[in-house]
Amino acid sequence: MKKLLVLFIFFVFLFLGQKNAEALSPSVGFSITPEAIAPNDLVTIKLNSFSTDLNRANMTWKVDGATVLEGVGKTEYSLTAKGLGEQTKVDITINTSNGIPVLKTIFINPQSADLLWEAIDSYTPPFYKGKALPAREALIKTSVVPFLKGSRGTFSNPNSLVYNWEQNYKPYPSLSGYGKSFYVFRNTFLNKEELVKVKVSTTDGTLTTASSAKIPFFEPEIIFYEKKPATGTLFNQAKNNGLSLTEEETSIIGVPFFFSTKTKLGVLDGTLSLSWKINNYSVPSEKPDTITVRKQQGDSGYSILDFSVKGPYLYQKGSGSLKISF
Amino acid sequence: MRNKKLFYFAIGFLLFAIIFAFAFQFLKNKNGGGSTTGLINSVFENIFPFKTIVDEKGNNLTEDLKVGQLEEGPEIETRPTLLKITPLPVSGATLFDATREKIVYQETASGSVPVTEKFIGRFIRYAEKSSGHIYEVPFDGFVKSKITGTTIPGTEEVLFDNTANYAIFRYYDDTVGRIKSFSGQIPTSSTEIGRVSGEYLDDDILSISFSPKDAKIIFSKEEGVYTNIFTSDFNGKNKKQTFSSPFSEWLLDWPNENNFTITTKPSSYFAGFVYQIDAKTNAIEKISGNVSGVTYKEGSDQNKGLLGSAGKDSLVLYLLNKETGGATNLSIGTLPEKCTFSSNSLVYCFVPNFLPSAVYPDDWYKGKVLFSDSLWAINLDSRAANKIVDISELAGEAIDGINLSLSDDNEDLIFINKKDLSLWLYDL
Repeated sequence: MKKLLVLFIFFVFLFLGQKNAEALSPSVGFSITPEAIAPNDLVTIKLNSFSTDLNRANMTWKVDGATVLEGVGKTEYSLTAKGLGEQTKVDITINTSNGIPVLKTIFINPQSADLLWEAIDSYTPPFYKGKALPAREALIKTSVVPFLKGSRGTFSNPNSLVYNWEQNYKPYPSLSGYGKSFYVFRNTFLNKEELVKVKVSTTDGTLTTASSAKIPFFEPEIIFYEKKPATGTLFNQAKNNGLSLTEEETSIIGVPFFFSTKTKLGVLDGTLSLSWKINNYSVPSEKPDTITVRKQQGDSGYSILDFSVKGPYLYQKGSGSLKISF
Repeated sequence: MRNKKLFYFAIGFLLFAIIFAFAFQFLKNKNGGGSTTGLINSVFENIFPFKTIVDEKGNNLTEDLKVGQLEEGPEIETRPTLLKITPLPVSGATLFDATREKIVYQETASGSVPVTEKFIGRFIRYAEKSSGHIYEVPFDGFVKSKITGTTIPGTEEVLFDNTANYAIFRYYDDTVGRIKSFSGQIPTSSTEIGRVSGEYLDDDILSISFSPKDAKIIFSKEEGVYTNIFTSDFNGKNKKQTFSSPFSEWLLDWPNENNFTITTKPSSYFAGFVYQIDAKTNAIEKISGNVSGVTYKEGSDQNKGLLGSAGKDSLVLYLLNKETGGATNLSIGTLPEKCTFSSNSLVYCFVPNFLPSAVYPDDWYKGKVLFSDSLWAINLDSRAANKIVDISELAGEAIDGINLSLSDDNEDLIFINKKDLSLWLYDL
């Protein structure tokens, strides 16, 4: 019984002593810029405290064991982050004015993630090598290529990471979460650009990074190409500057770049309203996007071909004119 | 008096003609930002078109026959420096060396005896855009012959493997709204017209590239919300997934047997990325990122690549050292796809003589602008760049060179002129 009482009193004093020590030790916090550290970033660590005057404290900064900065009021230090997944240990000893030392250890572990975006309903002709740009009210998909590298040197599986999406500073928790590596939204015509941000982290939160992208929007564009029966559409050379009709007839295709269509490859899926005029007269065409022009024997001069496209959304409309000389 | 009037009139007319010529050429060059010296030279070339053209080695290209077009009929005895193989649009071409057999007659005691002899010859194979028929042109005589009669009209692109024994024909079938890819083996006989035996790959393949070594391919296609990248045999068999991403706008390349590269489709308005995928482990690594209008090309040297950055009125070419990540501006304004790597630290590039005002590379891909190129050689070790020849001037027409294919010994170069998709051969 006596032994139990002694043990009890011992632990009480131990507990109280610890609490007293904690009560005397000032609280020191820190901020790190940038928030998401990428490889080779310039990282700035700033100390802060509401319970002690750090401007009077003597501080020693060590990076990977080597002293890099010391002195009174040295509350800030900058360093270059190492390569992907290569950790830097920063130890800070703060000797406050009341003589109680505070130790802080910070790990800088650079990670990265690339945020990609695409307009998934923006029309471009098959085999077009350039990016399909988004017109206003296009459907946008943003996705991530993450590079989260742990201490063992292995990359985390993108499907087993946690993604938190934000659009124009507003978080979307319902569209975020485990494995949610892409985010889809439709641009509203009021927004001339969209800002999308994603935070990516491992499930235990030990590795984390962030990325953002500003997405601009564009006017759709109509480009004319010549189409031959055998060679098909000659996408190598646009004819918007005019066409000289050297043969009896030729076909012109009007390509509505960046209009939203139901199917990415199909301009003829009914989403777009297409119409042709020759010298201001409406003319029918064998296909909505293609018209065949013929010259009458002995005729010479020129005609103006107009092609109008109306897309499914308010801002998606446009027209183009082509001068055909014969 | 009358003679004096005539004399003054003649002087005045001559002055007017010269001023008009300058003004015309100035307006022609306006968007290209050409130099004053270039302007003067251009004017005098237009007035006096018979100036001597010399190449980098000082060879007089105008004295000897240096430009020609391959015609149907007899063999060419003297091959010009620049030869138009066909004026008709082609959808793909390749240059290769192959061992062939020929019959030679040996004199024996009993008379001439036919003997089969092997020889290594150089050949061009190309696919005609209108029909998909493949033609072969041997360097021995340059008599072209049709070797396949399999008709696939309107092919948008035809890819050949490094042996030219396999080809993939790609076109858009607008009756069903699908991209079609037909992969086949080209008959080995070049003495009779054969057919391409093969089969269709998956529909709607977005990007595809042959392996540099075997008859294998890498290709991408959308499957649901993901775009998956696969390798397979040339006929689509033994398909294996190598990468998957929710992002679909990838351009694929297989520059060496160890790595694939995937590049985001470029635009002046998009800061894109280039990644490398290890062919064995499928591990992905970033080569470069956040580059406006990014395009990329790599040779067999896995440590170096050409990185292009583009924007409004701007094309910049960098040499990328993949080991250090360092990028050297080569002070040349062109795109990596207008270049080809040689086997001896040289890269050959078609470089626009001037850059029309446009948004790059978007407007070039749309065909809204075309270039008039010179051919340059860049030494990857010293980074020195030298103009070999103004190919457009030599050809007598604007050449916007694409789809370069270089012989193994770096002596011959074929390319397609984007302007009219004609096929050309240049003697390096």
